[in-house]
Amino acid sequence: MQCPETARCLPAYVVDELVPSERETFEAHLLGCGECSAELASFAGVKNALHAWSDTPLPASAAAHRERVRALAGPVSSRGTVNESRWPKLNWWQWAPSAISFVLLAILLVDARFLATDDGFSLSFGGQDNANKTTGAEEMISREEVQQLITRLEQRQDQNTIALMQAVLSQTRESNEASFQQLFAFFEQQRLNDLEQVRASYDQLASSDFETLRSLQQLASYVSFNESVR
Amino acid sequence: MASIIDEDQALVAAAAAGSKQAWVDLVARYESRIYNQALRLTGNSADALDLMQEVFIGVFKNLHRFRGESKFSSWVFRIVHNKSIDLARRWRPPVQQRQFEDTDDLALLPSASANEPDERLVQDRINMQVQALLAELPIEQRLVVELKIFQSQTFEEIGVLQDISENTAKTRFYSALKKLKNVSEKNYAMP
Repeated sequence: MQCPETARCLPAYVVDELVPSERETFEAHLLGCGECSAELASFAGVKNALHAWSDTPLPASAAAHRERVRALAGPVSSRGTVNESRWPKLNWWQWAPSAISFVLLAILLVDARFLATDDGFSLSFGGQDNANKTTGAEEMISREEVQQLITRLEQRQDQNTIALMQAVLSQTRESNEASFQQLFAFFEQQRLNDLEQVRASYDQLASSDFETLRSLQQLASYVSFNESVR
Repeated sequence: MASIIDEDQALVAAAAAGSKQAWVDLVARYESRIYNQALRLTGNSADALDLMQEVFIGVFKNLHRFRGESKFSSWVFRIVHNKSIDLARRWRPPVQQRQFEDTDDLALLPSASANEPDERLVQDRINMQVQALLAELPIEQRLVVELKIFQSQTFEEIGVLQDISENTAKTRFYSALKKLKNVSEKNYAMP
């Protein structure tokens, strides 16, 4: 049976975490408890084995991990030092093309215009003034032109529609004529077939009547022959 | 002369303010300590390096949250603690299957040449045995041993860190010692 003091006090005693009064009490218990003494000895061995650990340097394969970790705060030189400036120093030929492109883009965006006249130089932005200089007559002319274009477009659309309808009608008429001719031919052929069938039926009926008459004649001759024998 | 704690605080404040040099200094100051903690917790160098990297990423992301109410080293170890639990949930440490096996000792040599290679070799061998011992423990017990034996924290502090009672921390430590004792006796028993 396990001593209750083992689990209660031994772990803290091994790592020297008992208060002095508890330590004295437990040490007195150890003198009379073989189980706790043996457990303490084995635990001390384990503790010593663990304490034999000595920190080992990072392996060579740690270089990549180290660089990634250092780079969290930004690019790092191969010597492990960093440039504190947030903006790297650039030569003029590195930033000049970008700067020129930026200026040209800005000019395009604001529609800047530079005019040299007898009165001097002037700089304007946006092109709003020029737009306001258009006269009312120019606006009217442009409206008439637009109206003419619309009228011409409508006329052209009408002509196209008429031509299309004519083509459809013509095709429909031709189609109807062909259909009537085919129908007439069909009925005519049907009529001829019917006549042929009627003629064949009369011939068959006449032939049948002839056979019947001959049979009656034979029967009559047979009866007359039998009467004569009696 | 400023203390280590004050220097840590100054470096953290500077790194949080955007100083890259302060961050590099902070990494250089703690990388060996974190790597060795990670080595004991994971049991192999590759996982330890990955854990170290994750810890530093966590530290960097949370630099602005460090208030200086505790030691920076304690704050960092809390991150090591949480990341190692995450790592343990993802996969088992492979060292468990190769404890006390014959290994190529030259492969264990660190990159930085030690002054006395023979002693380094012996020490690396001892460290491998400690790693193999710890690898026998579940991650909860391994963390208690790490905190108690290597970080010298009290059971009360361990309880707070792991969100358990002080008595539970003691019980875990006791269970861990018993298991380590049994493993040691089994490994070194005469055939």
